[in-house]
Amino acid sequence: MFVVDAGRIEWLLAAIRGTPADDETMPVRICLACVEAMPVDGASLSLMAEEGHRERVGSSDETAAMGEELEVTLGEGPGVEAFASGRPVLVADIEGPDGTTWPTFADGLAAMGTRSVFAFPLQLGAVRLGLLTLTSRSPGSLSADDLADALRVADVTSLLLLGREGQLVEDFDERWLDESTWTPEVHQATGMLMSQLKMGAAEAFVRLRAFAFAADLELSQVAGRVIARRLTFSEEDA
Amino acid sequence: MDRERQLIQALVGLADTLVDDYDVTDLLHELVEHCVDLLSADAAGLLLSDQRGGLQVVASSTERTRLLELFQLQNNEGPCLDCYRSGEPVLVPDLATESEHWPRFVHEATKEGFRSVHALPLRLRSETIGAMNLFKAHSGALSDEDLHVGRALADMVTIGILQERSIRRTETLSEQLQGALNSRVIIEQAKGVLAAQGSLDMDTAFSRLRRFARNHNRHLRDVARGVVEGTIELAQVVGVSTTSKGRGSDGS
Repeated sequence: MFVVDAGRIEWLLAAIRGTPADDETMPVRICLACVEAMPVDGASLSLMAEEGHRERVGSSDETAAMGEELEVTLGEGPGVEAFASGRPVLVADIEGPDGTTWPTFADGLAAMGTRSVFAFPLQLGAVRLGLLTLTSRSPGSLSADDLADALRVADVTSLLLLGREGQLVEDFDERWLDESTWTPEVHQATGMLMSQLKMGAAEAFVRLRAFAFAADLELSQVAGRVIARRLTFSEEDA
Repeated sequence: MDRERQLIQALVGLADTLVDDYDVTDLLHELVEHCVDLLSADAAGLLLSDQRGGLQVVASSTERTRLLELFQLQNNEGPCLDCYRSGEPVLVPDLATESEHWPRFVHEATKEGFRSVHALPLRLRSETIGAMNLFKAHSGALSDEDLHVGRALADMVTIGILQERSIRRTETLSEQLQGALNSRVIIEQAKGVLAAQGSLDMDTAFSRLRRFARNHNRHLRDVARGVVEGTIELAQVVGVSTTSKGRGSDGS
């Protein structure tokens, strides 16, 4: 959740904003933009709840969608592991030794013509939101720059998912892209609000963010006040 | 205990951890403590590349250092940043001499009571994945011995990060770095929950988290997650104090 050097993903922000002529939903636009901007052939976005329920909300094309479905059907694969572990799972060649972790999945994916899979959990610490999966028809790792871009996409998409009931928020505050926003105090304040308001982490973060917006303050400023106990939230505010 | 024995004990402890199922988050915190003990530092911190162009703190001996390191990063100056970029140690026996080089960093560090700062790179072959930062309240150089010990500890950090899982995939470094960074966020969230719940300061909240993990033989990361997800009873982690209620600032 750091989004450093956000200038590099202007293409993503443009896709998020969209144009009046767009037919596609935001998740689909994001997937299409990933394929356009990065050396990948497919992209897919899923929302995931803790209970394991997974809902695909967008794919760049049929193959990407099928790859997602395959993993859901089998209950195994890089995406499943990424979501559970909180780490990206990067498989440069599904037909190589790395793919032997999920043999059935690897065979199925290869049969669709996909050779590399890069799965990124969408999360904010302990708040697990969903999954971004990028695929390619040819084997090979993401370069350091492409990896950085993919991580930035994951960060931004995670923020978009922290809205009402896990639905993608339509408005995106570009101040969130400023790395100085993401201080440890912001995460600590989220935890404090969870306790003060008796709510989950996602809700608490959204509340914190909403307060900052309404008070026209930086998120990190509000967080600082919460930590210093100069600002307390009570259940009446909820 | 003399340093040699201390060092051997630290190495043996770390080696034991590496052959067992371990949590890299625990390991990084132990290593940062060893830095303080073995190198006579007043504060120490570990920073890792977030692979997006930034450095993030993943472990620190106190909250104070955190402020500094984050500050340093945001202003794009400081020995730690230089160390990460160059891949070489950046040793500053007397901060005052560098006030033109890093004006804001020196100002803030001095304000916090530090007089010397040393940064050692975390290297993996040709790549620098982060830096180890040592802060001291007294000015003075690191001895050659200190540098050797520091390098050994830095290497252990890198090994610890990579070895947490059996290396089956070539992309392990990236996966591990991102995992460590996310674990850090979970820990911060958990600290907040405990701080509010138990009216504790952040340092104490963290101590209680670690104590619970140790007492129940669980990984720090898992306990932190449990605290945030609500699957662990908060009262158990906060602990029942037999002394007066109110803000706890003990070292336990």
